[in-house]
Amino acid sequence: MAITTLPYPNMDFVPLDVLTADELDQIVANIDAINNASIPTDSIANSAIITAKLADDSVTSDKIDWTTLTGASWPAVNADASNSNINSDAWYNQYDYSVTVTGVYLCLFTQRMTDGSNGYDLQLQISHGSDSVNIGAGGSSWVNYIPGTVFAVFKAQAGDSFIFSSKGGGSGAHHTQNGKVSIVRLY
Amino acid sequence: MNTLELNRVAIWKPKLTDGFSVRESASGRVAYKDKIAYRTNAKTYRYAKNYELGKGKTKTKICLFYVTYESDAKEAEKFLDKTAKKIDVATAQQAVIGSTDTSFEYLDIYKENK
Repeated sequence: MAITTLPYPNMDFVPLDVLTADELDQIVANIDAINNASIPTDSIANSAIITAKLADDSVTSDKIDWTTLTGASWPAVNADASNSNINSDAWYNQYDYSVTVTGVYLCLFTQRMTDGSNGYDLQLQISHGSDSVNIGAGGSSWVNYIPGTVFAVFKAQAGDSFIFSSKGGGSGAHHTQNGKVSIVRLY
Repeated sequence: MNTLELNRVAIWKPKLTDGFSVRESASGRVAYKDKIAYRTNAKTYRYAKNYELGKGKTKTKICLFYVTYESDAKEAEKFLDKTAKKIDVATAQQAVIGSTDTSFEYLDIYKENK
């Protein structure tokens, strides 16, 4: 069985100490215990070395086996997520999502506009308080359906709302439809 | 250079671990008494322990140790604990500043043989 501490812990010396051959051997045994991975029974056991003893830059992602990494420290992806379809033929749509858990959220919003034609824009917005992300799509080419997608990352407190709104604008009101809203809490 | 004087308490910078530690040595070590050298005729024991003196900015950590023929480790630790209470912070700070890996200061405190 691997050892959980050095074979000879707490060695210390003061002036006038005379080191015997036995003590020197103990020091060597301590060094071997750290070094000698080829003899598992003599080496340091798993979890015997705490992370505070590791230099930050010695911990690199290439040392991680992602297939066996346990999930305890993973971000709670999908822990608080919503994935809703917006099927509407109104020219203006709004979808409000109220956050129940404080965290950082990835918000995705996609929508398309029917009868997209030259000069008619699809406008999408995701807002959280005074923060908002907007795009306008279409308007420059003759297409039947103008699609648009917008995404945003917001830090939100429990009780905050995200507002997803779409408009089929231009010189006249055009319908928006077949949209989708996704909200995923990253951590 | 510091020489070995049995039963005389020395003050040094803190050792690697804070706890009480003991180290045995075989007989035949060269020790001094009244500047006269002799050889120890039995096994000797070195007892050492770290202590923290003072508070706040004056807080100083030191190591007290001594070498003796006496093998009673419990008695030795008690003696060191009692001795640590007698040392003032200024003396401790001075000793730590002057300490190197090999040099230390003897105090005028002696462990009396039983």
